[in-house]
Amino acid sequence: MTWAPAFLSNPERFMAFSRWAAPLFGVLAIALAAVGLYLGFTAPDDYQQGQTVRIMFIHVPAAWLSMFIYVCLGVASFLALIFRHALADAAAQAAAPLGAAFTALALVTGSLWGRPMWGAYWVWDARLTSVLVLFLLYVAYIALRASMDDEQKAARAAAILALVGAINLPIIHFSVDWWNTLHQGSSVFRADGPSLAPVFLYPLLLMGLAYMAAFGSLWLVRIRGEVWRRRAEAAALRAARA
Amino acid sequence: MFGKYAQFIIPAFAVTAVVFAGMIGFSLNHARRWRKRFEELSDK
Repeated sequence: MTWAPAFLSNPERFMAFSRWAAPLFGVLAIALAAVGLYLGFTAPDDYQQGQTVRIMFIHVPAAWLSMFIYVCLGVASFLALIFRHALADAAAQAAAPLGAAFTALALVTGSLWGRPMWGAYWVWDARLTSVLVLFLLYVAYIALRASMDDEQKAARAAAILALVGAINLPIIHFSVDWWNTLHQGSSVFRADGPSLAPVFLYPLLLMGLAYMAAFGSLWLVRIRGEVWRRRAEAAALRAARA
Repeated sequence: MFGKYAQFIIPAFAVTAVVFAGMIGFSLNHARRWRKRFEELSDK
């Protein structure tokens, strides 16, 4: 990880990299999603879930991304807090709304799968509740940053919140093992290999990669926007002083 | 299409499409707006 602080400390290098990387990730996401959705829609019905198995191809990647983005938020917050890198802080700020959106997507699509399979849109199960807490952490992070006039103080407070909130990640991951939950256990990332049939596993993995590429593209675009905002505000301040 | 589960599957995909469209629209708009603002201030 020694390259990360060096990379993050150079906004010009980042802007040059993100200029071509953001559209490239976007195109990759569209291509992966097209193949993933085709395989997902042509896969046979599940013997238990029937047609609702197709919701899995959009729900599970959203759930993966909701946690992965929080890891990105935590790492960026740590780098911003310890090394005071402005670009790491911009990366954290840019990740939070995307994380909230993916988490909301996981909750809503999961709820739409749960109604026909469990008989309820929502249950206060350990997995669902801990993911709801994750969504609230994202919202709290965004609200905290917006609540203070002093942007540096807001960034520090939000970074501490993000790092404290990281304790929720292992709780989400192990909730299905630690508690007796309605939500099924992991079926892809298992020590003894995936338990899913290849006909469902491949479209799911492709959709996971598509979501990851989409996040990569959108994150870079949002960081670029944040860099422009900070540059514009610095320019406005210089103009006001002149 | 989707049989008796259409009322759950179609909204799930529709919500996903709307959220992705929103994320793309807001992200691009945010970046473009501030880039334009910076360029305006730099020209002065």
